[in-house]
Amino acid sequence: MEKSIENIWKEGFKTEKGLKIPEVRNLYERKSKLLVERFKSTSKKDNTSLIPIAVILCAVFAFLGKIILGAYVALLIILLYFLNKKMMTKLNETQLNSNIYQYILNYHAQLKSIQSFYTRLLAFGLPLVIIPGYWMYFQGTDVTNYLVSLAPIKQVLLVAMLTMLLSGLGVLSYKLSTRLVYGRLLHRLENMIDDMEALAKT
Amino acid sequence: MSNDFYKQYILPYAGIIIKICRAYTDSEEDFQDYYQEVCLQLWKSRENFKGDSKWSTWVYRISLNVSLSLLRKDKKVNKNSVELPQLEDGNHQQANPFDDESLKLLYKAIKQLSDLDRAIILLYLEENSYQEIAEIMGLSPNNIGVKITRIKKKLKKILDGKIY
Repeated sequence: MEKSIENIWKEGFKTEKGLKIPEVRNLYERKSKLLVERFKSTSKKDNTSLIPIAVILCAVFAFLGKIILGAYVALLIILLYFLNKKMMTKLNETQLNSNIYQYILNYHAQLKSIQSFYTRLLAFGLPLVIIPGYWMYFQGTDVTNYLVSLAPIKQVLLVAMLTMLLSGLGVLSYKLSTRLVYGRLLHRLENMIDDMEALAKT
Repeated sequence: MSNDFYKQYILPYAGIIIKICRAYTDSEEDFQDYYQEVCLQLWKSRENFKGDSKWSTWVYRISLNVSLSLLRKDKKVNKNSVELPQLEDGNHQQANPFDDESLKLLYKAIKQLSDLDRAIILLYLEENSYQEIAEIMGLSPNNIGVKITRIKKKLKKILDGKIY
């Protein structure tokens, strides 16, 4: 007589070895490795996207008749690309030893240190490289003539204000873009660290 | 996770978790991941368990939620063709290690059902009442009754070799 699915289920599991209980170990090992892989692939894609941006900006400025400015902007972006690459190599040097918690903790600390480095770089470095760009763009125009005609103290004040504005904008745009691209991954990483700490306590 | 928690709240219900995870995975490696994730989520969600239902009902709910969520993630990953990194000791054995041939075929047939139908039939085969299944699935008991009849017919067709 044909067995019903209920009977197959009931009888099948009576002597079934397939119900062997798996060993629970290294709960976070695979999850951690996958998350780190996500960071690696996201940062690689993020960094690679700088190349077409550099080419497009260079072309746009060339079209506007500002070839030198275009080359300057492209060069800055390419330099950023190589800097990012160096940072990624440094980050990926974080070695997985026997302790997955320590590995994740080190990785998180490296990420935070890189973020802090870029924040400082944008706060202080961005105005230094953008102001010459502005100069190139407005060279020979009424804007430059007006600036030159100002009293030296006013010129200094204006440049200082522009510097601060650019610095703020640089940091803000970096924070926003980091949050947009890496926010979820970072949140998952931090949650994972919290969970691992809670697991260790119980 | 403490040893006490594992022994008291997971080990006696491991059969439930295994049966559900087996129905949603195709390799031994995935099965192990699903099982571990369910254990982890049971531990993490222990404070959310208010005792309104049996602990076993909670285990079913968490096991299904975790399995469905991981399955959705896996499908998304496959759809986007993002390759998962090959981890060490990743041997791809088949996640259908049952000795009983009929059971093996039944699992194969269950895996051909939709994700939610799979959940419903697993709960039914585990002898949960329509009311319990309805609570776990968030559907009405009547709806569950109708669905079970339909799923059983479909399973019978698959097992009879009419659908493959």
